[in-house]
Amino acid sequence: MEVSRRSFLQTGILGGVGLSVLGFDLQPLYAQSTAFKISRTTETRSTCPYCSVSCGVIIHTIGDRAKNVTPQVVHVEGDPDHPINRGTLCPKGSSLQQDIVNDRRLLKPQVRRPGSDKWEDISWDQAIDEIATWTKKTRDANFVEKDANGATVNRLESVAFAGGCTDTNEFNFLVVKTMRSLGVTCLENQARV
Amino acid sequence: MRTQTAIEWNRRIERASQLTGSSHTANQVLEFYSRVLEVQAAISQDLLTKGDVIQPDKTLREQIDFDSALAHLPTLVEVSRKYGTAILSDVAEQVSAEGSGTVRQAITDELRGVSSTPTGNAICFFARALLQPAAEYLAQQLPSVPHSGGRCPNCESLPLLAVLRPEGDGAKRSLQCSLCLTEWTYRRVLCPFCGETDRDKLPRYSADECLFIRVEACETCRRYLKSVDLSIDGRAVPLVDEVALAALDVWAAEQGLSKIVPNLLGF
Repeated sequence: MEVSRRSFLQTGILGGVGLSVLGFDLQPLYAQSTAFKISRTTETRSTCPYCSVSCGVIIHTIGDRAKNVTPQVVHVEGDPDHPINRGTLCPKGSSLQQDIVNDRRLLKPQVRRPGSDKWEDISWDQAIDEIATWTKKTRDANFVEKDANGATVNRLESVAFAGGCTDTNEFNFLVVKTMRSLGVTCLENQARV
Repeated sequence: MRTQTAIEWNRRIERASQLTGSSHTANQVLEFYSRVLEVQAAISQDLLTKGDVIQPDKTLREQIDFDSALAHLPTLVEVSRKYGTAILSDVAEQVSAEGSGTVRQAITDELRGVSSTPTGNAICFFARALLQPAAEYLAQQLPSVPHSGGRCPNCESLPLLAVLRPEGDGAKRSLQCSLCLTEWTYRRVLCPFCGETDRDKLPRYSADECLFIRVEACETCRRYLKSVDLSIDGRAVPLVDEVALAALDVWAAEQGLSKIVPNLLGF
C-alpha cells in the first residue's frame, strides 16, 4: 500500500502507513479500489424534445474528458426536481437514450424509387433537389385554388406528409409551417405517444 | 415513532451483519460497526422509554440528552476493546481509566461545532457514536419542513451521505445528516458543500462492480460524498452500505478528494 504525501495531507482517512485514522487495515480496501473499473459520469439537466409539455430530464453522459474520448449518453431519467413532471416521463421520453444512441439510426437520406423494393442511399443535395422538383411539379399540376362552390381554399390534395414519433417539437413546428404554406392538408406528424 | 425507530435500528444492524458475510474487504470495519450499531440501538431504546419531548424554544443541539447517552459509554468502551482496532482498543483503555470526562468534552466540542478534529479521531468516534441516536431521537419529533440548504434543517450539521430514491422515472436525492441522521431533499446537480451548479464540475464516479453507490464529487471545492441509489438496489440501508464501500473512499482519497464529513468509522 502506497500512501502518498498528498493524500495523507488532504484526507482524514489515512492515519499511518496501511492504517486508517481509527486503525482499520487499508490494504484490502486499497486492493479492492484498484480492481474497480471506475467511470466518470456527468449529469446534465435538459428538456425532453418531443412535445410541448417540456418535461425535465437528466442526461447521464459517460467519458473521462480525455481528448480522444467521445462522451456517450448512457442513461436518461426523469428530473425529480423539475416542477412540470417531477421525475415522471411518458414512454417516448423514457426511451430517449435509445433515440440518441442507436445503431439503427439512419445517418443519410434514402429513397425508394417507384416500382423498387429497395431503399437506396442518396446525398443530401440530391434528396433536396429531387424533393423540390417533385413538389413543384406535383403542386403546379394539382393545386386547388377554389372549390366547387367557388370558395378560395388554396389546397394541395396530392401531397401528404408523414412524420415519425421521434420528431421533435421544433421539427414538427417547421413541418406544419412548411406544409401549410404549400397548401398540404394531409399532414400527420405523430406528435403524441 | 417508537416502533418505527426500533425497526430502523434493527434494519441497520441486520444489514451490517448481512454485509459482514458478503464483503471480504470491509469485514473488519463492518464487524465492528454492527456491534456499535447495537450500542446505538440501546441508547435509542432508552431515550424512547424516557420519552423526553423536544422544546420549541431551544435548538436541537442544546437539548441533546447526552447524559443518557453517556450511560452507555462503558458498553461502547467494552465493544471497542473487544472488537475494535488496536488504536480504538488503546483509546478505550484510556477512557476506561480516565472516566467519561474526555468523551464528555469531545461531545461538547462536537455540539458547539468547535471540534478540533473534524476528520475524526478515536475520541471523536466515541462522541459521535453516542450523539447520533440521541440527536436522532429529538429530530424525529420535529415536523418535516421545506428546506433547500446544504446543512441539516434540524441541527445545521453537514451531510454524511446522499440517498437516491425512486421518483417517477428518475431518482430524487436526499441528504442524510451526519449528526441527527435526518434526511432532507436536495437538488440533484448541485454541490451541497459549496453550491456549485456547473455540471462539468460535478462528476459522479461509479464502479461497474457496485453501481448503486457513487462518489458525487465537486471539482470546485474538491469535496465529495457518497450516494446510495435505492432505485438500483432497494435492499440497501444507506447508513450501513455507505460504510461497507469504504474502498470508494480510499479511491477518492487517492484522487485528492476530501469527504464533506467522514462517517462514524472515519472513512
